[in-house]
Amino acid sequence: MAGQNVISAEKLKELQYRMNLEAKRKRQVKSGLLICGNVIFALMILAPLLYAVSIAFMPSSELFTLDLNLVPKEPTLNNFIQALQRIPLIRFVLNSFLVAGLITIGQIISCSLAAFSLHFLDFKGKNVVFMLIMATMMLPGEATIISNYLTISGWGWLDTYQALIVPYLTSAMGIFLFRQFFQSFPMSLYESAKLDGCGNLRFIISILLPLMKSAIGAMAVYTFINAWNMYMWPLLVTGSDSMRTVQIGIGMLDSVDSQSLTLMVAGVVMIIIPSISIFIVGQKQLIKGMFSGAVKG
Amino acid sequence: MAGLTLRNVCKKYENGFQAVSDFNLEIRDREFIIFVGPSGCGKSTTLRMIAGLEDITDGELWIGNDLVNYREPKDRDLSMVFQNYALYPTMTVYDNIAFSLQVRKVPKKEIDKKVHEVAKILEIEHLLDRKASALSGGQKQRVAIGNAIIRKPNALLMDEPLSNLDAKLRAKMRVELAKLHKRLETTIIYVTHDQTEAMTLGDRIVVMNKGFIQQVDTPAMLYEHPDNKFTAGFIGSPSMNFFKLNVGNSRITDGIELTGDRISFGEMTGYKARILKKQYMVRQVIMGIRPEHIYTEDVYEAKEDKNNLVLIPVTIEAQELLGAESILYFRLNGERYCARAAAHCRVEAGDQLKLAFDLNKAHFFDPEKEFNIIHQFQ
Repeated sequence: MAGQNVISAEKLKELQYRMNLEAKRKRQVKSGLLICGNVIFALMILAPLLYAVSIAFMPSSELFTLDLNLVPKEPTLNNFIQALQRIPLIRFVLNSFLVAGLITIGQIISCSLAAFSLHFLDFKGKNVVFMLIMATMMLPGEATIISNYLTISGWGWLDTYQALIVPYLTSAMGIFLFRQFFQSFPMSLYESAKLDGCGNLRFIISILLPLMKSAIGAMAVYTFINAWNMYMWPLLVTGSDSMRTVQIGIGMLDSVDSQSLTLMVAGVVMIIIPSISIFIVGQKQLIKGMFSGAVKG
Repeated sequence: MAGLTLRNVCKKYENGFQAVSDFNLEIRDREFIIFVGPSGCGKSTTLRMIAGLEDITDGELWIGNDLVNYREPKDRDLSMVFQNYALYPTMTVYDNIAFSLQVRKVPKKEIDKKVHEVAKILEIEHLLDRKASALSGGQKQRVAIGNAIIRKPNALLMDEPLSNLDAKLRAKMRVELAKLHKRLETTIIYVTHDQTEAMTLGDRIVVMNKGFIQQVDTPAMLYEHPDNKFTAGFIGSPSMNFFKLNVGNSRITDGIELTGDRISFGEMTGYKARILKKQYMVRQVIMGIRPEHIYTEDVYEAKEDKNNLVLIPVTIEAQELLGAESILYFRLNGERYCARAAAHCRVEAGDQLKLAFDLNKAHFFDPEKEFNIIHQFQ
């Protein structure tokens, strides 16, 4: 063997080093390309949103020109100030927060309890009840809106908080989500607690609740954003400024006499901040919760 | 601590499936009793009925002197260890063990003392502050047992507690469970499909099949004197070999002649032969021989008493070396059987050799009702 194709140790080391370097560079190029692609797509998707933010800072004179104005040349906060002066935006935001918050809390409580009984408790007609609940998901909200309106007005609840909140205190979607989540728990956990002498309520509070964090997070984000974006129902049942939610309130910026696009966009930018920030905070939970039950682990 | 009595207990599901039929059993105080059987035989259902997790369709369940059919699980004062441990994942080991006492509002000082006591017995003292989800399988099992024994329940129910562990750990835990039973002096009802666990742990074993009790007896009795063909075939590994044979009159001795389809086991004498002669002459029987009662030729030669030992030529199909011994799989008359042989016995597939069948150790079963003929007519 001696004398044939002998490479000195130093040379071998250098060769290895070079091979390593090449592989590393290849990988860097690949991930660099992927990142570039991602950034381009993200920009395309975000473009309308970013443009809206940019419009909100433009004086109206800048918007209606023949040039393509993507970025405000003289950024101004005037639009925001005017929007806040024109309508009681703060009040609307508070209303929306109150309504969306209470709906979220209500749905989490009612849906988790319903899902608990549908999964852990044994009673006749359990599956039928569950199927009926699921069937309601097929009804569009608009189909029930008139009968709901009549009920609410019959109770004299028009233009009140309860009219905005009570009809949305539970949802089939939430029950389904929690039930699927519970299905990933072994039944023996409940049985073991039962033998330990633990009642249903205590089981929910001290054992189930800590395990449900991700499902609750997902449910909360989903419900809150839905409730925040409600339009049709609040429009129907509220009349006064004091009850109006932000989605309706923003419509008040659009007046026939003096339409100002920049003003409206400034308002919109202000009200999407809460829902976007909630999504950013809760997106991990949302994704985790939505997929738990579907994929094990 | 108390004994348990099950009288004519039945379980019928709403869809009409009869999971357990006419279950009668007296479980003595401090007994380690094992329910064993193939999957779907009703052993777990019976255990769950005892625990109160399933309703009893018919029959009576007594714990001590109380009829408890309709008592809530928590009031039966039983505890259970589940196959998947059923630990509360977000709680620490300490809280997991203490949970049942915390629910019952036992004073904190007492709980603390008891938890440490139990943890010491189970050797998990160093784990008390860990989260249950951060433990290994064997540790989880110990914690689950800790949770079950801390209340000193009437009886400890175990539903295949070792089947999620690997083979080595299972063997270790088996020894520890036996030790634990001695130390705690509590009644244990243990469900398993693993007959090694059943044989090594149980004071008595309940063999079940299709919802019926097949036999209740000590491990040794079950092995040596099975009441029926099912028990004979289920207990023992590899399982018993069965042959369908005709009982005929012997032309030479006062015994009988056992012949089958193109196979003859020849003469048989002794008390078993006498019973067969009296009850089953010119009828069919099923003969069962355990693998260890089929000898290779060298073992046969070494035997002094060759009475009722029959040499029969067979074709070897395969050999499994197990280290200390080996299992020979052979074909006889088209059927596959097996025999236990010494480890040094080396054969090749296709080899023809003679094996000796020890008819003294054979069991005989009724071909239709499958009961043990010798037990029945002794």
